[in-house]
Amino acid sequence: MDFTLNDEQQAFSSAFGRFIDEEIVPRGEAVDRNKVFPRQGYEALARMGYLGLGMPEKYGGTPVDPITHYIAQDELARGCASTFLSAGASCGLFGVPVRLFASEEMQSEILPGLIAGELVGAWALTEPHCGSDAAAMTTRARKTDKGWVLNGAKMFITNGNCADWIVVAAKTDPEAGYGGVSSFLVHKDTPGFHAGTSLEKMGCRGSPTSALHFDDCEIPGEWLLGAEGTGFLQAMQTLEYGRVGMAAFGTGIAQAALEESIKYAKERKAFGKPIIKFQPVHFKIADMRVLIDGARILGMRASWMHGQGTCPQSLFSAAKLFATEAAVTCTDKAVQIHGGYGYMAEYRVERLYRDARLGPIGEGSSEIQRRLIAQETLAMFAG
Amino acid sequence: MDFSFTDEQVAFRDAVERFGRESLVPNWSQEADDGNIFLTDSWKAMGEYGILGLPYPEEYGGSGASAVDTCLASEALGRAGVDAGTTLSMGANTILCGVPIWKLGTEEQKRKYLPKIASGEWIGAFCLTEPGSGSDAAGMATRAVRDGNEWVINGSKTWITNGPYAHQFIVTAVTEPDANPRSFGISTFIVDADAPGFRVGRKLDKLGCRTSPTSEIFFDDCRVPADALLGPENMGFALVGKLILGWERTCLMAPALGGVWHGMATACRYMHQRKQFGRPLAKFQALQEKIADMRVAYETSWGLLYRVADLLDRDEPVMVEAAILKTYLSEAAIRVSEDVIQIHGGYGFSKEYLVERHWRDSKLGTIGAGTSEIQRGLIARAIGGF
Repeated sequence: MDFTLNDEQQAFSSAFGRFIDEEIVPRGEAVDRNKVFPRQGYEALARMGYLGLGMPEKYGGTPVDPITHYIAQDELARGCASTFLSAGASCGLFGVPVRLFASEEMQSEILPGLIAGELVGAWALTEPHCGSDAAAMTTRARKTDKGWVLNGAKMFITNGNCADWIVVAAKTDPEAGYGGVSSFLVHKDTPGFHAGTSLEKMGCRGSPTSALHFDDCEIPGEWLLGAEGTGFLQAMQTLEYGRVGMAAFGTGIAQAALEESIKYAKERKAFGKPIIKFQPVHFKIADMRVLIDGARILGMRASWMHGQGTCPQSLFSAAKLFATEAAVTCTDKAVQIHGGYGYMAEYRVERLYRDARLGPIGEGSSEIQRRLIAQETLAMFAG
Repeated sequence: MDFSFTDEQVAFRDAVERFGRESLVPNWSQEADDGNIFLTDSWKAMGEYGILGLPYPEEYGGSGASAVDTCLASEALGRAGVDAGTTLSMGANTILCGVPIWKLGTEEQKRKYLPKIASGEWIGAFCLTEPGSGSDAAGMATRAVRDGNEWVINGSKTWITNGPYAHQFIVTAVTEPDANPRSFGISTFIVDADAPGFRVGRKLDKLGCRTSPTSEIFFDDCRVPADALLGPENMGFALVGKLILGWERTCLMAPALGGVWHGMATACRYMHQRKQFGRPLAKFQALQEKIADMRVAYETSWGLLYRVADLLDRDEPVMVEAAILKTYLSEAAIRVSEDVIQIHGGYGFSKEYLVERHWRDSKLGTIGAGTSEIQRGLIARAIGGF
């Protein structure tokens, strides 16, 4: 048992934290206001090696231990939730299945550009009428002499209209339930593929989200990812990374809310003293720290166990659930501490509050996580 | 980082859990709980099993266990469903009384007390709180004055766990009233129950942890020898306080972590068995969500608890981390035990399922060893720098 970071992890944490403070935090406000893909931040992340963390060295990646990877995600989410989300959809939700399931040829075509920040990726599972219930998916892929033809629609796709490549889940055997789902690589210039305009959303506005449409979209046979019928299993494996990522998303946003709150509460005076001196204010700050520590340890533990191959589904879910709900609670307290200023777009906590709300919804809602945790826990005591 | 226990640690936890289930749980009775009666048989069994002196070195009758392993054993008792009165008495004995002697005592003090604390022969207690001061040490009124080769202590203490049965008491008293800050004018003594002028007051009736006797303690010109001083004069409180902040807030909370596990297991088993509207309660999503929240509370508390234990083993500072742990776990334990009652419905509200006892017992967590309010103040001041 060891709850401490080693020297390399500590050094990485402070160096990466400095980079985030210098390159990512200052762009956050404009990223949110402009509602376009955060290209500059994305390229800066590529230069720092973030987009290649955990990727093979031969494609320009940097193999790292899972704790270091978690720290990087936590720090980026603290800096800018939109940038985190777009980078995560690109090198995580898209990059991970390419690394795990794509052929050598496709990997060498895609990964070097992705890691260098020249290409953007996206991952398309959700549809207008089905989210967590993936078996109800209606996007269809039919086999032809030349490859596959895709028909259907996807919804709420992060980077959907700015991605060069997309991993798309589709039914190849509608009768086969989960076993009838396969996944495909689709390039944005493929005829029959069309991405919608960016959807207006509450938070993470700098990370474009759109619908995708496939109208007789013909793709070559080698764009099938992994074996036919394994799309659902691939998605589950990808979501293990995604849930650790969402734990970092929540923890990082909550950390930003805490830091802004301490700074403001020490400066702002009322009744002759800084408001941090008032118990109702500083107890909120203590509560935030309690939740953040709980969330961060859960996230690091899930990440570490993932690396060991020993992480139960319930722990991925617990980390995601706790951290994303902690972020909602903490950003709410942060707005409250800032009073009227907290309600104004001029202060960062207003954005953090909006950004945090994605957490309990994206990548499996809190309800889905609780169901999964409960089923696994109830089964432990079935005897 | 390494978030795993070794195979030996898991086997140790399982063995202690079995010991708790077989040798301690059967000693509890509703009559003992109703009557605030100390479970002597459990105490003897724990002494024989060797769980009362776990962290002390072997030469003093202990097992040389790490803080992590000490917490693991305490958690195991909670998992077994051992009543929190028994684990509270164990904590007051082994941690609150024994750890200061182990860490600050002279060789003679360690040889005299630790083996008997470990064997269960001499029950230990810790006297800090007074009728007029709890967390606010500056308000401490108990006074100790040097008189030749003796100290003369006057004052009173209250809510002293193990008070009615303890052989020796760690007692804090003001020795330098003009010290600034006040905590640097407080010393710590080991007072034996047979010291002249020492008197145990009435046994106090309380909400939970009822098998752990609690009492007032009075010192009326109580005379103890000069060598009863524990640690340096005037610095005793500061040093003991530091130990207590870490060890007490961690090891005494570990049974509550096990209690969360036990409550979750109890609720799951009941939900599989109990049927309503033609199907087991386990099929209802509203109750499933409560189980999920219990599991998340367990896993979150697990990380916060073993982090502090691991830092204690590394001699790293733990003040903030221990306060965070205690704030979260104590409140989570109350929420969980309340949900366990809710899942049990009318049976949960009645005494026969014991789940109401867990709820009553859990409430001590937010009060003892520094209230949740004290913890929040401490955390905020430490991270806010004000």
